[in-house]
Amino acid sequence: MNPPATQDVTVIDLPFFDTQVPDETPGSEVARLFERQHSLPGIMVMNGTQFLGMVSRNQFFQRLGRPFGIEIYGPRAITAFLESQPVAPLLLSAATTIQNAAIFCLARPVEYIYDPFVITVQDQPPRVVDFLSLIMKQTELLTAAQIEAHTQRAAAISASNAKSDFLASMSHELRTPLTAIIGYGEILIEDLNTGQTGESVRRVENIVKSGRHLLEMINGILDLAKIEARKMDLFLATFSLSDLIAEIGGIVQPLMSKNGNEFTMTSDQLVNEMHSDEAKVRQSLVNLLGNAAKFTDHGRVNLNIRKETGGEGDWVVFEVADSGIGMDDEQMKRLFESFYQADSSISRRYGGTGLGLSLTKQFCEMLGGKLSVRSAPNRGTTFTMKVPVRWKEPVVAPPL
Amino acid sequence: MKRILFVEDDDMSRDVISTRLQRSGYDVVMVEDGFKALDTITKDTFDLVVLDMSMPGLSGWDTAKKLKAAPATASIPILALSAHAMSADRKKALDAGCSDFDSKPVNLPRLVGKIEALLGSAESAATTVPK
Repeated sequence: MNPPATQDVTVIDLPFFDTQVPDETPGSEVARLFERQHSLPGIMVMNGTQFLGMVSRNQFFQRLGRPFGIEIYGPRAITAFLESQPVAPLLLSAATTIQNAAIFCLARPVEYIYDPFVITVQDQPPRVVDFLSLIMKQTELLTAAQIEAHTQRAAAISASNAKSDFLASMSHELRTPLTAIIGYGEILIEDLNTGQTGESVRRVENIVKSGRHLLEMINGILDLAKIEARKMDLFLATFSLSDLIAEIGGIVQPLMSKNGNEFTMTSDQLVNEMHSDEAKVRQSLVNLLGNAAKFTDHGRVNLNIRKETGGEGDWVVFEVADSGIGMDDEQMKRLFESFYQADSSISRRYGGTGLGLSLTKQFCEMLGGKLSVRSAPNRGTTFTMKVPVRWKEPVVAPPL
Repeated sequence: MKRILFVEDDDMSRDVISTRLQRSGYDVVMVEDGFKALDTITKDTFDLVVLDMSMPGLSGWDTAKKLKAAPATASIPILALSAHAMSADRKKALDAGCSDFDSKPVNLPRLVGKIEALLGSAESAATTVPK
């Protein structure tokens, strides 16, 4: 929880004393009150409900301690003491901030700095507040503000570093296909000039392939930027989950066959309809299944769909399990980072932009759900994507 | 003809850049990782190594350090060629023992200029060695 901002806390929040005496009370009686309660910093002098003044413990005993002090002020009414005070007590309204109260207190003549002050409250008796409790509150607020500032600064530095890393990775990832596009293009110009066009088709194919890869990457980068700027919209609609799954099966089957994988779909409990963003559910599942197909060679990939009830309603749980190469703990820790592929050769060997999982995770969160992973090297990988059957504001992360 | 060992893990980059270096008149031997580079360099004579930096297995930075640490290969100039094109990346390559740095995508005249400068200085260094 965030501490209250320093400027929001006022003197009304401070502990106070409400001891008051009528104006005719003798000084000796006031002295007895102070002696009876050692923590009492000041006593208010009233005429009925009218505030006449405040006797500060410090000033009162200092005066009594002087020659003839007790003789002069002991028998007389306390008003005599009030009238003899060269400086009136500090009166502050209830709305005064702690910060301003401290400034006013510290601006008093040096011998009055440690005196209590009085708060006037609308329709209530005035209050006496100890200087020390004000300073303690002020210190507490400043410390909290300082901690908050440190935390914010650390978060800002970390965000800025993450952005720099992202830009550096992005630059590298964009330059690699551009190396092929520009290089093959320049070779083709030379070939056309010299009439050596034997390898032209292969080179043009590589240009197109690199261009497509670049486009896929730019689309991914734009999507991430949109999500970060909170400009990525959700297009909510009610749709048939079985139709969507059939469609996804058709999209990913060629990817599965490419590596000789056996692809199966199982369902424990049927969810007929979902109210969510169909395109984002589709893209997330295609990303997860595409990954599973890529990192599994002549193995199995299964998509299991089940319904779970709990938390704030019904959830659809999509579980993508493969029998592929798996990942170690270090790889899993960085899995959802943009451009992080467990090994830099992966994009070359397995393709992909290094943005798919990062996007899928963001999509799941936008859909009010969560993406998690279980894996071990050579033991396969299981991604679990849990999203609400009916979209709702993502307030609480679902239990997984 | 000057012989260059070109180390690059990305298939298309290797194909494109080696073709262009061959057409610029160099004898180019290609390998796809740092370990193969260390192995190949001892089997033949090379005038220059053109080295990619971020490679799986043995990275370009580590390959450069190993080449510079071995007496047999320490005198062969290394030109770092990387898609990491920030100014810090140049420094990192030079710190690893590379003689010069160039970025990808390749600007052929600039790359050939850097290669020629390194081949020239390697040659003049060789001629000043007392027999």
